[in-house]
Amino acid sequence: MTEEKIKILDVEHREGGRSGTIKIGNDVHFIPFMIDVRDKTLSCISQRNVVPVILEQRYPELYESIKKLTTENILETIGGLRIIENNPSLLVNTLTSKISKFSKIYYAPAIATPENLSILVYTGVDVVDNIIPIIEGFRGNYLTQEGIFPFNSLKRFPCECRVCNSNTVDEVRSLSHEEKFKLLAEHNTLKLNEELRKVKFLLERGVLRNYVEKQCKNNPYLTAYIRYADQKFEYFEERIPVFKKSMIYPNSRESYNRPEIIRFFNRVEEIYQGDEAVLLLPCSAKKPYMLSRTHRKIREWIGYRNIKEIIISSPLVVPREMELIYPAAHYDTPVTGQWDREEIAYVGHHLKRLLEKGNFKQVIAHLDEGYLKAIQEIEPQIGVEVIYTSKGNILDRNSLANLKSTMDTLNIENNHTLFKDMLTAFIDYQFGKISNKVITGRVTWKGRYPRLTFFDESSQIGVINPETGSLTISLVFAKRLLELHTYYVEIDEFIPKGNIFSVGVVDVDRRIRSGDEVVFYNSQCFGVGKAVMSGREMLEMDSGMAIRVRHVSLYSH
Amino acid sequence: MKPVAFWIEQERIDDELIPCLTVILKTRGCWWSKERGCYMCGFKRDTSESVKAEDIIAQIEHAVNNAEKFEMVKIFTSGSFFDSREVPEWVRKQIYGIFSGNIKRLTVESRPEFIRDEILNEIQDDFEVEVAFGLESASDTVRDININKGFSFSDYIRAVETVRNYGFRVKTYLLLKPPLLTEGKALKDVIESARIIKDVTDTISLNICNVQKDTVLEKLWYDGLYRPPWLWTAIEALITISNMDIHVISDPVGGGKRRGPHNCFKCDGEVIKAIREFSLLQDINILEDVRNTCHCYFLWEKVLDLEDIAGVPLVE
Repeated sequence: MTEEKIKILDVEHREGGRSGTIKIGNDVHFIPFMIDVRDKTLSCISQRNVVPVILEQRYPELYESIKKLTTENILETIGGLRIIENNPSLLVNTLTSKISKFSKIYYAPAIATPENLSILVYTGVDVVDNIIPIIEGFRGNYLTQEGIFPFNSLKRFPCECRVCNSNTVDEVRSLSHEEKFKLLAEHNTLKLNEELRKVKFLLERGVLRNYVEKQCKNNPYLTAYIRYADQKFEYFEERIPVFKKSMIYPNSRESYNRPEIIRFFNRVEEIYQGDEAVLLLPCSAKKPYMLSRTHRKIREWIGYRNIKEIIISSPLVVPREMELIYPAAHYDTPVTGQWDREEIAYVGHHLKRLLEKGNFKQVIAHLDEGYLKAIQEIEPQIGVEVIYTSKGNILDRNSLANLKSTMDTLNIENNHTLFKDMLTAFIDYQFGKISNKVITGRVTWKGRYPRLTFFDESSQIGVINPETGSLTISLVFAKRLLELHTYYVEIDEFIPKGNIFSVGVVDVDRRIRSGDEVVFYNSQCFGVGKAVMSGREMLEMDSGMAIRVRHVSLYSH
Repeated sequence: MKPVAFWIEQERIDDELIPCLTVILKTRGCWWSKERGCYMCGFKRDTSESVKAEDIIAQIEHAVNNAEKFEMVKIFTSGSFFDSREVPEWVRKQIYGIFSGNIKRLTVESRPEFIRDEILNEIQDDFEVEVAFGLESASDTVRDININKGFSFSDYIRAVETVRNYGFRVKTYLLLKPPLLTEGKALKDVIESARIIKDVTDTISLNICNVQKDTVLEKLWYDGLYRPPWLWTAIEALITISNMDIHVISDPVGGGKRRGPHNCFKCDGEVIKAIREFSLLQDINILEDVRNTCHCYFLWEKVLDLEDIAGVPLVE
């Protein structure tokens, strides 16, 4: 198989791994893709010298001599993972160091099972095969998404596939060994294929990670795997869109280190600006928080005070002005009032960092239950005495009246405006701390919260997009980004008629992630659009859409 | 000094079964194993720098005096009998003298580089001489990369031709499944090797690889990068090679153990017995009859097919 005969046609969705289409010979296949090794037409991929990756680490000399015998091309084989399957740390390290170029297709032979497939795809494996399902079948084992079961232990089939539907367990048992093994291999392969379809389906909806967190609970190796994987923050962060529509369900311990959540904290803590005083409030089920019944009621009682607010949730801690930024309005967490120690410590930690960054003189906590524990836990460390205003239930009259009188007494002098802060927060969060360079005049806004349109003097700057938790920027804004050489994509000398493909990309800001607003330009024109790929991906790939274009403008001379 | 081991077993010469004395000598060891060494070879453990020339004579005498009747002798040194650093010239001559007139055949092993006229000329006795070479594979790539053998196919051919000039017999060891060859590639390699050498060797001895202590192979095995060959692979190799009309034998050392050639551990005993019987009787029906007698045979067929893609062993 020559270099030209395997290529990536298009990558459509990204979430750790990716979905899209590749071409092998004359045939188009969807990735993630399973090679059925019983079908010899794809032997061009499989009949190559495979070098076990572990050789490279432990036997460098042997590796060098064996490596000479192999030919790698666009399709890169990560061989021999099977023998490190039960060493999750090594498996994560190996995969995340081998999978490096966006322009290559990564094939991990003889490792995929219905149980681990989602985790492999989430890590970036494009192509797998059904070797393990076949081998396990011929060992008399029955695979499901839940693991591996000896066929002999089965009384009934827990499955609706065509093998299990057309045979009873006893019928299969009475077959010759060879017939029985073939049927088991077929069932196991069908299960892997079913999981592959599911994973693709979830990836296209941007909810693969939610599934991975669920699936990893199947066995301790997979749980350990995802915990190790989350330590590779830079690797995964680059492969996960920064703004999107999909929901996050932080329902388990693994959710705390989910890249989207770590990215949110990193950026928020980097850009956060405090003031004289801050009011701590609990989160609400309805998002954005400000439109919830709880938050509306509190605001009605105390009136509009220009006070900074931080909303405590689990695992998120969200400054009010960032409550629309992804994923602050894109998560739901189980609310039971029961907080475990780990949750309290985690939330307390991030709350403390915000309070320190904000350098507040006054901290008012209108909280109860676990929310209260989070602030109490860190109060001794923040150097400010916290004023607690709740009398048990934050929404009862006594509590609200107490909050109101406390605020009246304190006579806080804050001088900021929430919606203006929101614009600043969006800009700094999306593009790095450049709001003071981009916004030079008086900020005004129009529209109904959360769908606000912002103006700098008379120029439209951007519109909040609550669907993806981002600020959609105007051409005026893009021009200012270009002047600051920030979130830029330099393109070849052409005037874009439609969207921009990666083949036309010359240079990029490496901070760009899928979902980002970017400015593109060449010597004739500039424009604004939404990045489909990350910056590095735009540079490495020579096919696929890089930017979904909104406006193009010729330079006015 | 006693030899590492010695025993009497049945051997076949022409169509006759005769008792054979095998002696494993302790010597100073194979020079190559001290230089770089073959990945699978653990015979170094049976050697010692302190072995003196007289000790070798003593070992032979011990074996001869304590063994029952024999008509053939095999002397293995875990190295090269013709390397004078292991077995000095005068010791070799004395050993020839001990057996002269008493046996039908003497088999010794040597690396090709020691096959020289002056050494072969030392043997002026009435027994038949058989020189055994550990070629392992006819492929220079496999012998170099997967075994680290340190000599080439042309070195072997040169040595074989020299031995032939003296009318001596040639036995060649082929290694079934060197390190880092998959089951399928190993089978192909050994069959291809047999095809290449069938006209220059009198006997092929199929050396079914096992995992010896303190070897590179042992480390690979611990890391899951090596699995000793399936006995089904050996059966397949023996049938195919035997069909080439050549005398092929094999002794599955360590058979049925985790470190040795094995199938599913349940059927191993029967298969090993068949291989031993075949080696003695050369009746291919013995192999045909044992083939596919256990359901792990189907798993093996899949392994043979799929291990090439996986790059590592799929089944323990």
